[in-house]
Amino acid sequence: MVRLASAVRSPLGLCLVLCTIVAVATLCGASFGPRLERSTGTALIMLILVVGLKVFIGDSGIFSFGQVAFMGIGAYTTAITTMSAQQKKFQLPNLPQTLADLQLSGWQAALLSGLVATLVAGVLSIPLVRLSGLTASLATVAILIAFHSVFQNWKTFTRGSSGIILDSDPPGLWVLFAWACAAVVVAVILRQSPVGLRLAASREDEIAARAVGIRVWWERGVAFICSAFIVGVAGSLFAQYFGSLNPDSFYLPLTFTAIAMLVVGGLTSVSGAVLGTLVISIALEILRAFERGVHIGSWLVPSRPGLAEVGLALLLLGVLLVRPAGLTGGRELTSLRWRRPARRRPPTPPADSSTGSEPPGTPQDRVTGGGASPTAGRAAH
Amino acid sequence: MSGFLQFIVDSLTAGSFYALFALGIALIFGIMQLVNFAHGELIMVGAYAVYLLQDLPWPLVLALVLAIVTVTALIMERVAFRPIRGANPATLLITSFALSFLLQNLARMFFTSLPKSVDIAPLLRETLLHGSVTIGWLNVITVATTVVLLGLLALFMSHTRVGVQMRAAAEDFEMARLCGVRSNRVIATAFAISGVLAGVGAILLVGQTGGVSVGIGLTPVLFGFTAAAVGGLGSLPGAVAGGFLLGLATTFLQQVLPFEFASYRDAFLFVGVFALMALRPGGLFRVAALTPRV
Repeated sequence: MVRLASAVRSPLGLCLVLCTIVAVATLCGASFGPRLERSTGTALIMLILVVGLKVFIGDSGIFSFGQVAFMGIGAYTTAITTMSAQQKKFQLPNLPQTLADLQLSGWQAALLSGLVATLVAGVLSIPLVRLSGLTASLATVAILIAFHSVFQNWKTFTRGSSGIILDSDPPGLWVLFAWACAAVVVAVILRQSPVGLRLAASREDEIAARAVGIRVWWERGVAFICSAFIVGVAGSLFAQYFGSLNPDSFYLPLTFTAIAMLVVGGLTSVSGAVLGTLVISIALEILRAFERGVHIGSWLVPSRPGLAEVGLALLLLGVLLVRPAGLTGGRELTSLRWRRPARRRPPTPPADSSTGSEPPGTPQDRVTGGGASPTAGRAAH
Repeated sequence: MSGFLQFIVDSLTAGSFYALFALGIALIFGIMQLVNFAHGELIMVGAYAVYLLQDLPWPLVLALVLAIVTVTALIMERVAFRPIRGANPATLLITSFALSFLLQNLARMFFTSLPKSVDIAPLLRETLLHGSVTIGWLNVITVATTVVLLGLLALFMSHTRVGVQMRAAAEDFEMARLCGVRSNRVIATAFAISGVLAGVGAILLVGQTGGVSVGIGLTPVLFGFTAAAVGGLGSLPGAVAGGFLLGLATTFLQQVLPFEFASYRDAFLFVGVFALMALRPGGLFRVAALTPRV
């Protein structure tokens, strides 16, 4: 029993638990008609994006609004490299010859998109990692706006605001599922790695972390680049799955939805990213049904564009006001304590520790200071 | 010569807009470390108020719009920001982001996303001076209003009791409270002033663009942010300086960039902003109270 409990709590156990949750959700979504299947695909892509965001935002504590720009980079890379030659001649006639001849398969394009996003992020991270807190957040807003402007205007590669239509076959749900699981595994490994632990320490107290010899800029840079890779892959899958993209797909609304998912789930854990995506995707699906207008008995609720977004914003505000650390409280599912911990821990271990459950000091607890996630740190005014 | 004069006029006008928007953001940031993304939606509320009231005589429009925006700002503070006051800046930022998204989509539900045209005062479209330099009434009114508002704000901050208390709260909120400054009153006043600034900004903006749409607040808030960050978040003189600097930079880029790159103006601008932030993270006017003490 003790062995089972600690096996579940290991990183491998966490990966298995999370992937099982995603698998069950995908199965449920896939078995209820084509419209829900489409939403499931969207949710899986969002999951990859949110996990990518978590790798940087959750572990470094710096809110980045710019990651969606890397999604755009991934999406355009995929569009350019997977389109057939005739379509390219028609939609992007001015491409350089080497790109015009190139045609990659789906997974090759996804990897390449991740790499391109990584390269761009690598360059941007050199100045960015020196910044902390709000200045860093505002700098990432500048990144988002600058890239949006580039996507809109660099017509040779992006076709501007007319957008690009892809002619390749969309990937199946299980391909998306595999990528999502890969993202979850990478995020869990990163979090448990020495770099991830040091980064989490710098999130809790940057000055103390520097004082014990953590460079901080290096850890932030690694997380930023890994995050960009995952987000770039998400962008590639976005392009392949939806088959069309334009610059506005990768701007503030998408940033908002992704950050809402992350915050609702709980910033600092991969479980939070998974649960947040799941909860918000389901909520959005229900709200969109209302938005289109539904019959309740004989009473017709008229269609109201904007209703889903209003609901999403209210949900996020509610979570921020009531439970600012998110649904998971910033912990991993496998290390949740189901009973409320006592305010002051007694000097002797509680009696139930001998009957199976682990003592309450898992590595995550120690680093996050027992649930003091960045969003939970309130001063009493 | 006339080209230069035109350049000055244009950058002053753009700078006035940005300074107005940046001030509203910096004022609140200084006191409660909240980057108010929803400031753009205050401008949006103002703009729709102008649209709904445009048939009334203009002094009435002016007064009503300012009142509506100020009340909205106060409600915003009471409902959304007071419960999480003192939370960490990232949480505050996300809250204001959510609020902004909420208000924008509420407006979309009621007014749809189609832009509406507004014609408040035909005067604003007339030009004052023709010839080599074009100066419209709008330029004059924008710059004059900004200068007057800046003067009034400076007087308010230095010569009234609440103003002095606001500066004290920006310096050290806890200490100010211990000395008897009422935090609720100070913060509410800051929101009221930022509401007035947003209202004035909204009227001028509608006068300039002649239309209202759901996204009208986005560009102002992004530029206001950037101006405030460039100037040094939390510093009021910094926000004004940042606003005029940004106005200068946009006008300059517009004139200097060759035609095929003109549409990239914002990309160049924000790359510059990014570089400036990396080189001087505290902004031009660093606020001592905001650097962490070790």
